[in-house]
Amino acid sequence: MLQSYVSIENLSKSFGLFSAVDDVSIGIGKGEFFSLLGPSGCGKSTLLRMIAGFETPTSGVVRLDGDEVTDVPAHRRPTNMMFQSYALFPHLSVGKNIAFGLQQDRLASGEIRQRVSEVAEKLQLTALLDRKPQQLSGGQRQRVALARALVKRPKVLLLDEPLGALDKNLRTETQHELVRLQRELGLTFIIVTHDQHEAMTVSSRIAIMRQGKVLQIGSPAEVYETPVSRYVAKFLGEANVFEGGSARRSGNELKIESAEAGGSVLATASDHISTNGRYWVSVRPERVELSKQGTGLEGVIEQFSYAGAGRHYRVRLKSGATLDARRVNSGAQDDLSVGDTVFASWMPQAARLLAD
Amino acid sequence: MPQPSWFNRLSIFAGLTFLYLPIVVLVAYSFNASRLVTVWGGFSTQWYTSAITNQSIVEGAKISFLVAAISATFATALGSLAAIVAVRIRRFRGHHIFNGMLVAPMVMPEVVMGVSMLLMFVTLGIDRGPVTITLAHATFTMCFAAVVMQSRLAELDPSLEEAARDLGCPPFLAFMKVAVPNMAPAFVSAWLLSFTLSLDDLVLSSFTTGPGASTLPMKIYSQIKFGVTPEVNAISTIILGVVVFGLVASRIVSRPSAKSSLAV
Repeated sequence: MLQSYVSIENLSKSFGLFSAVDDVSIGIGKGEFFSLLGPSGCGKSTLLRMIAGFETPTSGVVRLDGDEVTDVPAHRRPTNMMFQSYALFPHLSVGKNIAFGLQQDRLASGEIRQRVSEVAEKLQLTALLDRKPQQLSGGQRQRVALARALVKRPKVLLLDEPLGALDKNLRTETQHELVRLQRELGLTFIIVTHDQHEAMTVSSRIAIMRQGKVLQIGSPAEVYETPVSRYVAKFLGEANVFEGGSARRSGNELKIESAEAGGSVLATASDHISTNGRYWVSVRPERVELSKQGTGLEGVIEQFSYAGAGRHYRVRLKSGATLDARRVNSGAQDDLSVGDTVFASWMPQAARLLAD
Repeated sequence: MPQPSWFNRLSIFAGLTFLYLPIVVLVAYSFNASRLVTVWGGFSTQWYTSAITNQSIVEGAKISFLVAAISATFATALGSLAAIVAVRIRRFRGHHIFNGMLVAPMVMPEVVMGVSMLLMFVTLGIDRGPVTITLAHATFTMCFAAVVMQSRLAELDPSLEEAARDLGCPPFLAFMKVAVPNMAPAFVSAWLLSFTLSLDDLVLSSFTTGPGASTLPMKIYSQIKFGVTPEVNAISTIILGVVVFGLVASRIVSRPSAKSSLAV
């Protein structure tokens, strides 16, 4: 087990009766780009604020690089935060905003100037140093906020929904920019986001949170391919989830009767799940094959949407349940249209069994 | 934009006339050459000359401006502290009562405040004069200053101070370095508002004054007893000018991010 650089141990935070963060333990390695992902109100921001030192945990411990910092106030922690609102100081120029943190450390003015111009160059802010924050565009403000936090060379950079205010194209661009910066500087980044695409794009690992608890931690591929619960499967991307009934095993394959899906579906035998209790079969839309003849779950195409890179179909199964399927847009003519009767099937290894 | 109907035009005309015609008449007659207040005798500025050379009036003006400046300073300081407590600490025990009591003097009858303060000064054996007027004005204008500061402080992004702390500033310094500079326009605005309120106060001043300390409004009021002279019109016009200037200046500086709306 790798020695954790940021170590969160049994951390809890309650506001009155409401438990915002509930017994969370996470170990984050040095140089990781770690995401805290969850819907609003899941406690991810509170967790980040406890790492920054803005909230005092009700119980539990935060360690940074081996030192316990649980009770160290924010201004003495080797962390820096990029705020959702950017929180740029309106009365100071861009240059003075960036220099603010270095001035608090009482560095020599020559060094401050040098480090400010260094980071300004890295983030293409050199021409803007004399402007006031109000005179900048959203993307420029975002870069100033990033520069102000990075110039302190923190052990950990905390980012609270850093791209929420940007439009979609700029956001994608900035995500790549963040990854590039993080690699170049070799810093540890912890980002809070509710955007699963963003989390998947930037992170080395993701912690999925819900109601103050961490449901799963893993690389983007791990959490996408092997979600631990129905919630995670549905939160991260899309998933067709059907409750499973009796199952018949042949070799490594399982044939599962599902009343919800209105037929039998395939999956691989899983060591983690017994098919005796309640369980569910989950399959991603892009793994579902639709054909006009053949075997599988029968249904009628109810909705079709053309999404550029792919074609999305919503199929109403005979059982009444819906099933989503997706085809890559290869440029070939589409042979399916709304109202067609189709059969949905998938490879056994495309399905995943979930206990909850 | 739709054209307002004749009824709308008429009602706004009637309303504004009712509010401002007396003031227009007052200003006009301050330039009257005639000694008779109701008879127009040609244009003249003689009453202004006579007003600013009137020793008693000048004395009253000095007291008024001094009292207004000092009481506004106290009111702004105290009002800011109250606003910080109301906005930042917010959910403390009894915050509803605190907020209510903070603004109560706005609607409290001035006579009641005047009598109670007079009683207090008498009981404590404090000699009445400019000092007691200043204290009284500071207490009554403080709530207005607090309201101005409160609204500005509530607009201020609390993550600004958090950002300063995050960058290495201890909490108190973070407040001084980040919140205070961004509240500067509100300080000016609160001060100007308190200043103008104090400048034209008559009731509270009359209750808390002592021998020899008459503010300008008190001087005017006592002159009126012997009939309205064009001189009173002239002084009133000057006061009106000062008050309008104060209010306009206070509005201009408190306009949120006036600069950012100009720069795109």
